[in-house]
Amino acid sequence: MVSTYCNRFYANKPELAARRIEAIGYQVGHQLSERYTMERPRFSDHLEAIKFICKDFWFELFKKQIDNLKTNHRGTFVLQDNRFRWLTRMSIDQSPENGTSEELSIMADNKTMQSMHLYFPCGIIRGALSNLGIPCAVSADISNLPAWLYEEIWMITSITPDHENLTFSSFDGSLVLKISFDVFFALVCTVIIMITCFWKKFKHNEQI
Amino acid sequence: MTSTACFIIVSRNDIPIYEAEVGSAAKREDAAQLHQFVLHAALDIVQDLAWTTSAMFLKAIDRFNDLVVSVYVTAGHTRFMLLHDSRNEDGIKSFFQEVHELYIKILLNPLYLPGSRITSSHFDTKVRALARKYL
Repeated sequence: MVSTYCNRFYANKPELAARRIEAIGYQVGHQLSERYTMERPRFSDHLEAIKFICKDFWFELFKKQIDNLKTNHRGTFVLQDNRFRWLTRMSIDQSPENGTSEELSIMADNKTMQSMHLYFPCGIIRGALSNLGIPCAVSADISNLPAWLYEEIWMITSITPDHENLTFSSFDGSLVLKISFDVFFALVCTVIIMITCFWKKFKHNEQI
Repeated sequence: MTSTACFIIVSRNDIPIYEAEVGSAAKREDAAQLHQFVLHAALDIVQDLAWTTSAMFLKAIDRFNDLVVSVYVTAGHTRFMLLHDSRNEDGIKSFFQEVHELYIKILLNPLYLPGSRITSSHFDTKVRALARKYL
């Protein structure tokens, strides 16, 4: 899906593609959060909602919980997932020691492609939190091999609507990676995972 | 057993997205507006109460003459409100839970914009059937 949006629909406008993908993720997150909070009592606190995202929500989506949660108690939360399922199958090549300018531009391209794939889970988290009553902006970062996902959520405590600036986090001591990936494999994996996720839950709900 | 009942679903932005008269009594013209008026007036009370408890089903929260308003709040702050004159709390709770499931199914429709009116006639039929069963 990501590759379709990047390469076909908005071939020359990666920002538009990113916003579109994130908007899709927003709607998915909205719907999924409503569904997964059905049985449990409501949340009385921002922290409770974040913990729900870390544990139950992430478990339903990726069959594991978030590995690490940090906060600065002033509205910022950092969620770290050490083995993000959607990116573990992406192949990664090490960058050469001395890069020429054209290789640098290729690396920049690849980093853009890689960040495209991150917008969808960002959107999911933003949608889920907005549905639980917390407007926020989410940004993601990959800082280590193999494809560790590092996410950061800014809580906007005033009631302004959240904005779309996906500023990347301050962890810029990360390695510069030259990433090449198998597009079709990633796409098929994503689709299959989402479909099985939905279908299993739906069957389970109908039997109840 | 005749009973009056009016059921509305209000989204988190205080926009009613679904309303139905589900009672089995004969419907009078002015009664419909009166019911809606009472339900909307109860929204303030719901707002206050929703933050005090983490349960979903808030029992009877308001009375008007002999009609009682019961409310069920979901995690996304969508409120299901029922105006009724019966005292069958368990039945009402089951009714709300079933409607919650139906609502989630509507929400999962990718063509449904959250917060817009629910216009599906299938949903409408099912809600009325549930009301006849539980109320």
